[in-house]
Amino acid sequence: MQAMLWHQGMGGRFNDYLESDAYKANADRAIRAYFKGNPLMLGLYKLFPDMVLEQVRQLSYYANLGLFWEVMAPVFFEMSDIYDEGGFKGVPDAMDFLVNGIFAVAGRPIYHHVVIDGECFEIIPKSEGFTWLYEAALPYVEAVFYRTSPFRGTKSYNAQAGQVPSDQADFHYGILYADVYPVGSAGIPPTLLMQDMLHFLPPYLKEIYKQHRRGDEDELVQLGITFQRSMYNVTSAVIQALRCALLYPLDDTDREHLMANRAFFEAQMDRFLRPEARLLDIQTQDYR
Amino acid sequence: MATILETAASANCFTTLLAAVDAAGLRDALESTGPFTVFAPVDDAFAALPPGTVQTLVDNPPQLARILKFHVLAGAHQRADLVGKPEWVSLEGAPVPIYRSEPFEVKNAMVITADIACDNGVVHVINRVILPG
Repeated sequence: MQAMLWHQGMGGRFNDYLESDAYKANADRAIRAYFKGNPLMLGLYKLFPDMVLEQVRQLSYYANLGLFWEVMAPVFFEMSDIYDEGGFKGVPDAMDFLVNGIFAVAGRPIYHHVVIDGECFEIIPKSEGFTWLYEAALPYVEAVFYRTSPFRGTKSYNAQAGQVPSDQADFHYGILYADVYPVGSAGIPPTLLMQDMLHFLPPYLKEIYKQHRRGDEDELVQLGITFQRSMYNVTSAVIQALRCALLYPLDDTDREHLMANRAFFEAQMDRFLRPEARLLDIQTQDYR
Repeated sequence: MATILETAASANCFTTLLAAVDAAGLRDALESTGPFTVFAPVDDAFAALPPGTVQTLVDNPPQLARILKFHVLAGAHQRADLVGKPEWVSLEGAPVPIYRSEPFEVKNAMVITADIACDNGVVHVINRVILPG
């Protein structure tokens, strides 16, 4: 979770704010209110202020992630409803919907408010101007889709044997690179997430899973791969949205603009040149 | 001469920008002595954003203010100054790159009209809303 905010290099300021004096003062007021009438904890706070402050920072990360999903989830639900009603004629329609959805919610605020004894403490006030796109979505995509960290699972990594890259730019443990089958217990893709999603599977997906591989027996794996496929779609929408926001229209006639678009696209595609990338796999129907 | 906002109001093509400045509570700041350099997107630039983008920002003034501040530099800089440096720091804090001088471009926007002198700064009219990142 904390690692997510290492990837704020596309305009995000959330992590910097967590180290600012303003944040520390806001957190301090909330901590004192929370421990009011608890001299033991107040004493502990006086002795080890950074320890308690770090807990508040963790809660701020939760607030960030929670708001990310609070904003993103309705976009996905609406997408699901449109699909159920037969509103998408193909993948491009769904992609357009997502790109527009990202723009529509990009400016929603990211903040951390907490209510203690009926009083609202603005630990990260909305007035800081933090936005869904810069402070949550872009770091989320970078962290969860591409990088993350080597995870605990049925497959283990040995850093001493050089199985974990020393350079963060070479990290490639996100969902876009995950080999779903051997991963199993934790990390990306998390089995817990698949287990959660399993309860809300639409009947048509259950039917499809039954027809393939081991039917009911490996639903979690098939579901994980569906999730991976859909995250490639989301990544594609993010790439298109970034091009739309930061670069030039596809039908631009200026040669330098088209070269800039191309350089951006190539840089994105280069991230899938690693052998672990699943971009080629997801193009085939028998990758399940 | 007129102030930056008076100049924009008389041009009749910055309705969205002026409404956004009011919604974000930046009117007083932009009416102050400054001076500022403002990259002012025309109405068509805002209209070209996907549906809902502007409304969400108008509903969230601090976030809108942040995006608008990305269009403002401290100091009055004419085109000749601006093209002399590849990057300028916006009031938002993020850098505004100047990729090209001929035609004059600011980030991914083209400058339609440059160097409109005002009492409290300079306005450059651009054809696209620019965003940090």
